[in-house]
Amino acid sequence: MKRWRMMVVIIALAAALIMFVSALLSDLTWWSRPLGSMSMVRTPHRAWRLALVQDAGIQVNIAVLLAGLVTQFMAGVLVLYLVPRRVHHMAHAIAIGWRQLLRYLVVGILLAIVLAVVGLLSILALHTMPLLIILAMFFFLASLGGVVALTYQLGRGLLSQAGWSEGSPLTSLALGTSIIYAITRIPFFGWVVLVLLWLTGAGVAVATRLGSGKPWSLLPLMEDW
Amino acid sequence: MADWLDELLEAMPTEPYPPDLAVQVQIRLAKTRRWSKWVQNGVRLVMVMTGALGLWLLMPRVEMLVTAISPISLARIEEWLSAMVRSPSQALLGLSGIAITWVSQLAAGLEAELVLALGLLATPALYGVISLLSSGISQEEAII
Repeated sequence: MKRWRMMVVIIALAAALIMFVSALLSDLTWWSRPLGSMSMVRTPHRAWRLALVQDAGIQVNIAVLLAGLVTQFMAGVLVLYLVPRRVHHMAHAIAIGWRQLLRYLVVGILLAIVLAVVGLLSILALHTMPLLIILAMFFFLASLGGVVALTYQLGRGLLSQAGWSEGSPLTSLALGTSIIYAITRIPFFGWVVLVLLWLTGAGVAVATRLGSGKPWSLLPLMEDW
Repeated sequence: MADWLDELLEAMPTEPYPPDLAVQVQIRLAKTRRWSKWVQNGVRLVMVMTGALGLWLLMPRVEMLVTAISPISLARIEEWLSAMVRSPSQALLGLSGIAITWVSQLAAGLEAELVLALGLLATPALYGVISLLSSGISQEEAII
């Protein structure tokens, strides 16, 4: 247990370090670049070699970093308070194991394909045209719920291994958010992780029927009237 | 509750069951299971082939689809926001016009082969989602 406690502290410190380094080396102000260049390689910050605190760019970067972290955490808090039972179901489903998590990722990928195709084909008929936006929003909300559950379960898993599971669920969420947010700040790798996370999140949300824990079934339609 | 049970008991044959009944039931069950596994494997093979065909048809047309969509730039968003401040109703009208133009550009990019490819790709994906979602529950509760 002592080893796990040390590990949790090291992971939290490493997350903080990754975030800090990303603020020094990357340009986080995405709005200052044209949208077309979003996927291009991020150039190192122009003044990262200079004195850190004096450079206004780095200060902005750190402010953006903190704002992003707080926003992500607050969004998670909102989801936890709005649908605690559903998050619990999703977190429980994630905790089963890696194979199950991989299954959710596959569900998420296949679901993204199905929704993208249905959304694209829906624009061919005038009356189904809004489906493109509705399905995109559904996917976004399902992914958000799933990612919050993943984040919460990550923090909870680590804290329970360290024997600190008696604390508030918000502590688990804060730890999970810090780790995930730090990983997604790593250039290139972060984007891959982010996409995988959102796909897995969507998969978890759909597989647990948006956290209701009930199976997907047509049985009610087969029951007697 | 007891009524239909009584009826069933009365409908049962009075003569003793054949000695090899259990074996016959097991053979029949094994045969049914074998057959359903064959069907399942066949469907999976068809789905994989459909998905591969869909991908093969889709790949050369992805670039065409992407170029058919006009990119949304920050300048356009800024322009729309300033129009929103000036006159919200005009801005909303303009937005609906932009949305319809964007969708019609996208629809124009969807050729017959592309629609076919998307359909071929979506079918195995949907089958995969349904299989994965219904694999953890009983047959009676299954989605299909």
